[in-house]
Amino acid sequence: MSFVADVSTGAIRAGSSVMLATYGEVISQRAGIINLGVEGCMIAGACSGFIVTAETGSPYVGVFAAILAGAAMASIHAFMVITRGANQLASGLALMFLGLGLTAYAGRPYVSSKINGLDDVPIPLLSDLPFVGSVLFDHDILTYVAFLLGPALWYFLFKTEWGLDLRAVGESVEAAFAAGINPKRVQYLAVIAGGALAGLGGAQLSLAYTQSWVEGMTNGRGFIAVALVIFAMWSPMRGMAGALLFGGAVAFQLQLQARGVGISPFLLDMTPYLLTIAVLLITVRIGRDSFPAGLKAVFRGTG
Amino acid sequence: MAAFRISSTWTQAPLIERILPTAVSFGRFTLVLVGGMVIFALILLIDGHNGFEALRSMYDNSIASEFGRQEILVKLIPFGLCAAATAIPARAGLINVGGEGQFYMGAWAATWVILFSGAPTALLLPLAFVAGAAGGGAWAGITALLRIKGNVNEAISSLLLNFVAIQVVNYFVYGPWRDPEGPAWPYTSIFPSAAELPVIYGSRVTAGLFIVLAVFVAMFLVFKFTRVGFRTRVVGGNAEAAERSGISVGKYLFWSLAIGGAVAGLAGMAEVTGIQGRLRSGISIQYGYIGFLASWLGGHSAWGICLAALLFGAISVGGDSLQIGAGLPASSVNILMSLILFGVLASRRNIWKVGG
Amino acid sequence: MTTTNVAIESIATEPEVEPSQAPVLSVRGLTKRFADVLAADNLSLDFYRGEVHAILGENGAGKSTLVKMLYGFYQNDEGEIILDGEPVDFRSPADARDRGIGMVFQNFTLIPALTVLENIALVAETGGFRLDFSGISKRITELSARYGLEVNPKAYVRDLSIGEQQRVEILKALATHPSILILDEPTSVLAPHEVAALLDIIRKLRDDGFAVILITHKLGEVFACANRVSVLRRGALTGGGMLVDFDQRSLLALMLGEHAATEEDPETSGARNLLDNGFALQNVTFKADDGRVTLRAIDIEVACGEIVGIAAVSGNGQASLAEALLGTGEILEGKVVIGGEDVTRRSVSARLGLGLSIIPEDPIRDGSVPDMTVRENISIDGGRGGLKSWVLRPAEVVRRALVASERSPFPLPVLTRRLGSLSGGNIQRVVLARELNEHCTHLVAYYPTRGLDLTSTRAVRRRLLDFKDKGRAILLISEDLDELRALCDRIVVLHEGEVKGTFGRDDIDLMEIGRLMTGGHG
Repeated sequence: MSFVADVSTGAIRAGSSVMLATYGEVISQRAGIINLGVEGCMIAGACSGFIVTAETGSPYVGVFAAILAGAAMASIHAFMVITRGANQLASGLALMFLGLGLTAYAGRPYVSSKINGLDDVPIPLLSDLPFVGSVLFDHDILTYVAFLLGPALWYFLFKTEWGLDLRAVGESVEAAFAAGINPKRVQYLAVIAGGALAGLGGAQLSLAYTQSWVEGMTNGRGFIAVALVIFAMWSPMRGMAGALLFGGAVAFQLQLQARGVGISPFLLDMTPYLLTIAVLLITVRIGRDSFPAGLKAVFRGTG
Repeated sequence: MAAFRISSTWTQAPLIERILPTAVSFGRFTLVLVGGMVIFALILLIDGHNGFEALRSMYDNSIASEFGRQEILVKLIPFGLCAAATAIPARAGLINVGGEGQFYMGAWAATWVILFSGAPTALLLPLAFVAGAAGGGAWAGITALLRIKGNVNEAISSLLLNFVAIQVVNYFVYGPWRDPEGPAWPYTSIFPSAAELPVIYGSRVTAGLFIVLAVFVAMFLVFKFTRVGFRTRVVGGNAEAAERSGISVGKYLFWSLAIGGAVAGLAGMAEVTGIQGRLRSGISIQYGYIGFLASWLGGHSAWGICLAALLFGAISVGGDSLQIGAGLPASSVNILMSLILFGVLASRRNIWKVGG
Repeated sequence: MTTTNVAIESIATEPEVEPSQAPVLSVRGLTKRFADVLAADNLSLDFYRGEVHAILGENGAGKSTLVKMLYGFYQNDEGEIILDGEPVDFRSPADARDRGIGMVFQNFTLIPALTVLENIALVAETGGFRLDFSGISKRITELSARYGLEVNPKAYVRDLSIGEQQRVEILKALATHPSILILDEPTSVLAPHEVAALLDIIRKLRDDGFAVILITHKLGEVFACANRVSVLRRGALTGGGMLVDFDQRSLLALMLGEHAATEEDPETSGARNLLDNGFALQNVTFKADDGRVTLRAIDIEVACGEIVGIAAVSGNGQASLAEALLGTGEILEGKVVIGGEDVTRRSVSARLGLGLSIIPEDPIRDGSVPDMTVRENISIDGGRGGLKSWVLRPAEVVRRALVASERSPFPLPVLTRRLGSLSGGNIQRVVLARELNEHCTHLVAYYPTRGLDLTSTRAVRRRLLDFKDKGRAILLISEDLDELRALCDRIVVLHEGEVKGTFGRDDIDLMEIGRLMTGGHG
């Protein structure tokens, strides 16, 4: 029983940073722009959040800085792709490199710093429930935010005018323009919002999950987020599920290790990535209808 | 009518019209390069490091010194081969971000041949060569099949497979392949000297240089002068049109990715047999991704990626000296590299406009 | 340019509402240049409420450019647009819409992945945050009832027929309470009886006081519902006025110039010397790349020396005929025969080697490589006639391209230009020239003259007839029924992937064909 509880709790802990980044990428991809540089936005958020927290002593200011950092990084990508027409994949990867380089450089004096991070905040009453209590209701504040954002994002996309405009732009820029929408403005906002959320995810990583900073600590989570968006067929709720699945794989591996189960940690380390590929294989077939048409051009190399 | 037709087809654009665009883009590129360096220096300045001194020392230790120049050639081998690993599939319209993983698997396969296959000593190096290509090629083949049969985008799957490949190598060097005589560090035993890539110039430039130059030349010749190269370009230009003209698109997609992966695998092989002398954890310092960026910078052409790889090599060598001299992490130069790439991406004319 | 001889009742009735004295919309001296092309040349026109004003001209005459300026897509270089007496400047479609101009596009600007309700909600923004589905639903029901535009608001646009999609497009335009309605070539995608229904709707709108601007190249429609006409040619106004002052001949002359108006369109003189070794689909059931079965147990045979036409509404399987012959997609049952050989299991390149040529449905999207030069594009000929060895000698490519360009039915652009830098029409001509080459013995041409100017259209038709006389087998798929009637020896009607009727040259009945094309519902 406790193994299941440990894995479940661990799944949420490990998955919430990815969940936030996934939400951001859902917004961006729904507007027709894929940002492979999510990794760069996430790590920028993690690093700047950590530095600002270390300097100011307040993790909340740190979170704010993380959001700004992620948004700022993403705005470079937005400028390149929307205003200059650059290839989305190349620009995204360059952004990843920029992020990794900047954070390695800026973060080096802080590698062994200790901070006043975001500790777990158990929700009164609910966290006393047996089993469910400690699994679901005893997490850091950003994880709670991640859970609330899922349904909120769903409502935004499907029940509001702005969400409709966003989806329209992602399907057909021409049709959106003819309908009086300003596609470039919508895409800018979408990409920057995506970066901000990725930055928030990075903050969760450095301020809550590990409360430390190490060069390259996102370790591919940004890419997992991009893949998860496709796995989720661009739906925020399925994205939440996917992030939990990823978190589950990480937690599963950690728990096995902690219990001294003799499976090589490296083989277990592979599982999240292999799982994502397997899921992509299955869902790319099924999810054809929900594929934003504007995104198809990117994958065909013409966007 | 007839006269009009013939004269219009015989007319070539005047010389100035053909030279000018190249001169302009060269000038634009220089601007981007200089701009990138200035911004990088400024970033360093903000933090209290003398940015321009740093740039100066980077130059002194790379292009300006004999040892630096040798090191640039040393870096040309992995950078250039990984760039080709992206460029070749790119001509067919595929985006290969998996150079890193293909590099690792090539190194792994070469190591297996050298240490564990029991092959005769004289054949170790040639077999390692073949194995390196096969390892990288097969790894890329997985990405290719996922794309062709499963419609999984190759950029994403090749990216994810990079992480898998790194863990595969980790598993072996921490486990069954660990050097039994050495301390418990994650590397294999040293390769026998017969399995070492000979040095051909200076103290560290190995025969890998021949490999990378041969790949560049082959790329140039194939894409310009052969039917296969032409058809690959058609596939890359418009796969639908290619299919309808009888080109077997699936085959071209598969082989272009597989060959790209094989080339990256050769880079891995050259690294373990030429530089490291053994397989260890973390043998690649982002070679695959830098190769990817070099390929984009060079427009995926043989000439272009060669120059881009040399440029990145110079920057990387300069960056190593920064680490030693100023104590800055070597990956700081990623900043400079990405600035240059952004500059180029921003300056290419691809303006998307709706309406007029 | 041929006229539609379909017996559409000419109802040039007097409008029920007296047109007000002042025009609701005017343009004065409107001019627009694209690079070196003068797309609109000093245009001055007036549009009145309660009137249908037809803008007539052949393809490429500048009609689209004019309305795109009226709708804010383009900005005019010179001249002015005057709305209700005041000069206006439309920076975007949103501006035009806010000022009361609605547009029904030729290429629908609907989003297939969204529902009808969502598509209309996109333009009927109330500025609120939450989507007001019930409010929009109500409005749709009102408009549908008033103008006869029946549609299911909850349906996804991608599941609708072309006719239904057009209704949604019209509802979308009406949802923003316009006073002026522009319809850009609305009948180009409709079957003859659907055209009649649309003209009815147009008349209702006119009678309700809208100023209707009808863009068309079909004289029949102009006479059926317009009150006023203006003719454009090469971007300039060549004439116009109240319709009652014109007849068919005078309008044609204004559209095409005196000489071209009297020139004969190429027409077939009937099939003769039919030979075997044509091509055929025998009892073929076909699955397209997207998984749908688009042809069912179909039998079509084209003999050498004849042109067989396929009449079908877009999306009823005619594109799959080309695919089945080419070898893409999947043949579930039946045989494909080319030149007497069973090629059902053979590859695309094998079939091309037998002399098959396909002019694709969308030459730019499916047949051209934008990053390559014109020369190189001409060389993508599937091994017929060139690229025989594995070595590519540049001099060889140059030589063959020159030969191809000499034999082309129309002049080609400069061979060293990058294809992507050329206009759509030019790209289309390059692809056509490549496919209509010497080595082609079996040709499937999918609406080859779509969007082409008159000279090129006639050149293509002449070439098709020429091929027929030389004993080649041609399958002509076209949405232009007049073109089919002029060129084909036989017309086969396709609906939902099945053959619904065959008509010989002498018993062609366009109304009956139209009826069968839409499933036999009148």
